[in-house]
Amino acid sequence: MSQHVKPKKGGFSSSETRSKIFFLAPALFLVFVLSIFPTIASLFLAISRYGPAGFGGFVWLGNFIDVLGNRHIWETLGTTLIYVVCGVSLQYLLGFGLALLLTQKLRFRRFFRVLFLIPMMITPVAVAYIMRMVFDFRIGPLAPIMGIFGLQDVPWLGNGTLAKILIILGDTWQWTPFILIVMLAGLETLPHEPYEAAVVDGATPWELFWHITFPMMLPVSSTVILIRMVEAFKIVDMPIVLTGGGPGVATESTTLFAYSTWRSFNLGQVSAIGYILLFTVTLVTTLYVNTVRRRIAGGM
Amino acid sequence: MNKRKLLVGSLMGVALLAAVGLLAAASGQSSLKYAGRTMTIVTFDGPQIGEPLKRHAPEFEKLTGAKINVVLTTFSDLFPRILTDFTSGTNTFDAGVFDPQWLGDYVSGGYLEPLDSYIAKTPSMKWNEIMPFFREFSATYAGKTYMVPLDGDFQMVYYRRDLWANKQFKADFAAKYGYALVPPKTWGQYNDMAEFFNGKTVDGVKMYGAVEAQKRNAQSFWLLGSRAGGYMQYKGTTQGMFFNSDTMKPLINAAGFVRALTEWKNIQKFGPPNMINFDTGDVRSAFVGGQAALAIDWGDIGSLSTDKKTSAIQGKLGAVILPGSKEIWDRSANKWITKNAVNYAPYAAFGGWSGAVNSKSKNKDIAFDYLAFLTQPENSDEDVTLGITGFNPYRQSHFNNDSIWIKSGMTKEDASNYLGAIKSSLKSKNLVLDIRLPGTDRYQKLLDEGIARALSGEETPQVALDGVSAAWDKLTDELGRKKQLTIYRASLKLKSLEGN
Repeated sequence: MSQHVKPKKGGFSSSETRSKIFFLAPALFLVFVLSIFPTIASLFLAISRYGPAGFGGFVWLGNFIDVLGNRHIWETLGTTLIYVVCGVSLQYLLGFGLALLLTQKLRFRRFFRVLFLIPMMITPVAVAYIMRMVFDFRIGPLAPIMGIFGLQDVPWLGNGTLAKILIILGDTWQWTPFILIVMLAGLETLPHEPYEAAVVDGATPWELFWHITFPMMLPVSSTVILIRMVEAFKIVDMPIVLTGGGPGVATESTTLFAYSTWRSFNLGQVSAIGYILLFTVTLVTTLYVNTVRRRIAGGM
Repeated sequence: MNKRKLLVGSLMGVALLAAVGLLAAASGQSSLKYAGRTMTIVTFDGPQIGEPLKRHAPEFEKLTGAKINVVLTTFSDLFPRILTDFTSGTNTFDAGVFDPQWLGDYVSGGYLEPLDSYIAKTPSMKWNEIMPFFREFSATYAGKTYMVPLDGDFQMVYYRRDLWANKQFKADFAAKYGYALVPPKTWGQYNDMAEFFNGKTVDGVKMYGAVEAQKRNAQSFWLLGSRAGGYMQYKGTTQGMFFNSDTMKPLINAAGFVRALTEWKNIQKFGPPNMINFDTGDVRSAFVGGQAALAIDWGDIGSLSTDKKTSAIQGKLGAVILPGSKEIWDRSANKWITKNAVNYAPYAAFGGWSGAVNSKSKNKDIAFDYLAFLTQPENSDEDVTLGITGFNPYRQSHFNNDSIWIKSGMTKEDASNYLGAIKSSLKSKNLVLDIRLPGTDRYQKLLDEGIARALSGEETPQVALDGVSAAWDKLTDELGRKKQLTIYRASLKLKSLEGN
């Protein structure tokens, strides 16, 4: 009964093509409205002078030259990279570790699974305000502990390095659950056979992890890290609530820089900053993906 | 059968009554001036500013039939959000309550309705009872009135009257510094007093010498202006403090500003360890919570001090005009000069929340009437005394009527001290006007960054302010030096320069 179906070569007018267009059109329309149009519009703004009085003529690369000629953008890109590298690394280590723990036969395992997810479900600004209370070591919930060690009067958010660390910690508190949930899902799909064979050969728990679990989880790990990296480049809630970008410009991310430029309604420059950030994210993630792909292809 | 008739009769009676009632209600509604119309007004969600706008809406609706839709947004988003609405032609907002400093951008774009003719026809708002500064400067731009003041804004120094009256403290202070402990008249004295009280334990609380808002992207622009006024401006309001009024060259890196910023950084030693991360909210809670001897803020601490639940300083509030200096920077001679008397230059920071009407609105009449309703003494007399609002006194009735303050929970002494400080600022002929130019927000943002770099120690005050000066100069060129100079001079009530 098998039947060879010859693909139809009908043109635009064929019913199959029409139905394809019919079903694709809504999605294409949404992509155009929500993605392509804003990209084109922001490119128009990026090469224009556009302020409170409206369109003030084309300046072509003028906004890019102004922004890139200002040390401020380089400082914020450096700070953002610190957030991305340190924050995502910490989140990955913690998330993977907790996911491994939750695959063990622990009591209240299900309860912990839900508990660990709570930070991710809270809106980022609310998390930032929670962190602001937590990091107030004079009257916050950690004040008694900090008092014991005499650390209450340390200007935690008044020192650039310490403030960066606290922002990374706050971001980690919120986003580790995301890595946890993805890694946990990955761990639960791993086959049992390689582990059984390795155990028969006398492998230690560390050897099981390093030679079986970690390599098999590499595709999941690289994906989750990539998603978090792209997100981390856009960090804004935590620095704006905790420090406003200060002290000095020590904790200011590029997105916060863009936001404060937008506040002044300098739409040309804010669009240029957006494109610079887009270029940076694309560059860093491409480098990352190529590196990971080579590693996976070469078997680590 | 009789029962049935009775039932039918009753139902008919009820229906008739309902119909009559509905008709009466409808005729009542339609007799109201703005029945069936909705006016949308946007402001800051603080809730200090949104609260009174929402609270008074039902009464206005009852009186006029209009529906008042109050849209709230964060302070950071307020300026661009209104501008987006105006520039895109969406015109969702019929009116807004915002910072008068933004008039430069809004009026230049033709987005606001001149209100002079509306004001002339509305005696109930008692326009002439609004204090002259707010009426003639804050509300106006290029000779026309665009705003209805709802708030009076001056920064001043707050101190704890009980500490300054303490005999032991008085004796110790005099012994250490060689002069009497009285409210500070100069920035040098302010610094001494902050140092003296820092670390002292009062009522079981370890005190900080002073609390001030130094946080990045917050209010530091205005705090620096408050500290620089006494050094920079001494020839009266028309002298101006921010730019050379002949060339539009920035004065922001002049020695007076550098000295003010240097002193401001030094005050960190006598404040909380995280003071560099304090905004006005932190300043207010620290001072009203009884943790600091001195604070600089707008009038809000006065009304917040009356709250029995949160205030530890009720009956202890002292307030004075911003300190000045006997040493003044002479910008034309490029040297410090010394005067016999203290030069006070109170800074009209921000200028007070005020309402304006969208020139493209279809509800200009409702928008103006609602603003007039808010400002009339019957409503504003109460608003300025409530801690929850961000509105501070700005009408004669707010200053001449102690009873409204005592009713709000202030002691007579607190009230007279607090209002006295505001009055002395308002009476000053050397009041420093805030920047009101197209691009004000961009000038402020650049200065905010420079201040932050200096306060964090990334750069010296001189280097940081040199950087700000260069950036301001570039911005002025971008926006048009001639145009900016004309507007700057107009804001100082100076004649336009010929040839400019």
